[in-house]
Amino acid sequence: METEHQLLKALNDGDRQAGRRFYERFVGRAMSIALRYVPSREAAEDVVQDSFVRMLTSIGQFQYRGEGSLKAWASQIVANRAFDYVKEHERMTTTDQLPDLAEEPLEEDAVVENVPPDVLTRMIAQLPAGYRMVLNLYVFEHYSHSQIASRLGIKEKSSASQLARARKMLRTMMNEYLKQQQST
Amino acid sequence: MKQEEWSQRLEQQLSGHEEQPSHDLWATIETRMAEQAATARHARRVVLWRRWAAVAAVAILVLGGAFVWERGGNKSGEPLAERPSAMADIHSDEVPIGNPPAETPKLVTAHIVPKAETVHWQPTAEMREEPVQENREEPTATNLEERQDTHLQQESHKTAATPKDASPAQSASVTARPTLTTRLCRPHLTRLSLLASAGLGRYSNQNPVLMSGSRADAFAIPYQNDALSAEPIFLTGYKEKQRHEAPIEIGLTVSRQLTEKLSLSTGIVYSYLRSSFSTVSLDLQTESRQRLHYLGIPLNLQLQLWHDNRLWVYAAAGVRADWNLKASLTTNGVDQTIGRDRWQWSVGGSVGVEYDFLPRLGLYAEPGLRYYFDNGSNVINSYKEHPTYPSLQMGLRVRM
Repeated sequence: METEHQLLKALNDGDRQAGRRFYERFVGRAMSIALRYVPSREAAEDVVQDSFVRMLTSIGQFQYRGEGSLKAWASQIVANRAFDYVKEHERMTTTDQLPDLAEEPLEEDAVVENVPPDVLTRMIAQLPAGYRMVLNLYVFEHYSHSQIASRLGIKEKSSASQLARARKMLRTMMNEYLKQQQST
Repeated sequence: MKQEEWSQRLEQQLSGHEEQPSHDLWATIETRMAEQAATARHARRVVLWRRWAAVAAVAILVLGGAFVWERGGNKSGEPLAERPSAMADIHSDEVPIGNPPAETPKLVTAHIVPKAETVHWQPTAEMREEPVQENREEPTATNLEERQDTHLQQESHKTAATPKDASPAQSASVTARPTLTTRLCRPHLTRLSLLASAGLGRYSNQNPVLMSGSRADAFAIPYQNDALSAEPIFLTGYKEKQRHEAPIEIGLTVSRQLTEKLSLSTGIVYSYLRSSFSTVSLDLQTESRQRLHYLGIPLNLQLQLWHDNRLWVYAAAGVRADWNLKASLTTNGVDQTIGRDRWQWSVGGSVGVEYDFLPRLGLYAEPGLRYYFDNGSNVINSYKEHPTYPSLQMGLRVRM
């Protein structure tokens, strides 16, 4: 398989097939990111299409920084586009009024790793929009609560509360799933 | 487990995860890339057109306001007695005793003289006599008698509206003053309206949240009957409810008479929309309140259907463009940041009744219907949820 540097060079040289190769290389990763943000598969595919159009039209502005940097750049573009999609199409409600929740018990360690990735992705997508956005930005984009608060237009304390509630809701979903699996 | 450790585990579980789309997206991506340049050019043209439309609307307002202001300070048809130049000429102490103005009946009888040299006002067709002559002939006995006869005949044709006790200087001007009846029935060229309007009724909606039955197994929901797997599942732990109050509007419009029965109006209208949204998720409930402020420019045609002295009945129809001046959202008492809505276009029709309780001032009521086009934005408001709104507009109208 060609390296990212070789692929990038082919794209900048105007190789039409390089665009197709770029798409096939990163579409799987792009879909998994989009499906974490957007509940609808059809909408997630729209996000991915839009993201690839943006990537390929602005590929000349990308600065290569080693193997893996192209994948990281592509992932970031998809995450940004998915974020914008949710902001445009869904109403996010947040609250600062409820107190922070206590830390979770130890048995949750087993829960996360026992849930298949595709099921876990769908569970995240089913969270209310505000919880979903905070969870994705904190866990997968490594935003701090202050950065999340700035990006979403909420308070920092609200970001932390949202994350705690998302975690609680996700735990409930995972427990229900595992119980169902054990009973079958 | 601490938050950080849990986050790392969750990220790790999904780090290498990939999913494939339902079909090959490459063909669509290629097509969109090819169309992107043409779309960008078209978008630039649309943006320019909208900007020019906004500039034209503002220009209409400014020019209309300037026109109304100018007409208000330079009225035509005013009674001649109010024109200081005419009064000064008639009552001038510098007029020689032997040469008073010819239109003064008493002076004509006592002093037969040629026309006054200085005449500044424009008499009406009834009052018009021979044009002023620069070179007056010297009065002789023959022509003086002829002039006296001519003047006496013209005086007998003056209108009966001339008050008997009017001073000689005012007689000419009084004949030009319209009566109260004629003034009410004469179509005024410009009208200024102050309006307030409210939509009738509010709108509520409660949406249950649905999920496809085919995904029930992903959430450990028992769903045994395969035949019903296509049926949606209601998520009973999650509810949404929204409520939209009727829009409230206030504004100022100016209308210009085009023909005897048709007039064109424009102005500026402020609209206020209130909505509330409630969500219940498991044991959490959130309440959001949205406030939207719009500034609109209407353009309407009015057709006079009937009038009788003080009462007017008319029909009106037109379009309006509203710009979202400000948008605010409060969730459980905490202010949130939301983006403004796009331009909102609407069309409306109404039937109005106006009663003039003063010669130039009337009160009107105008029930009607307004339809709001979907502007494609994702701001949820009463315009989108209930695009056709009945409304009642009332206000004051000044005829200028």
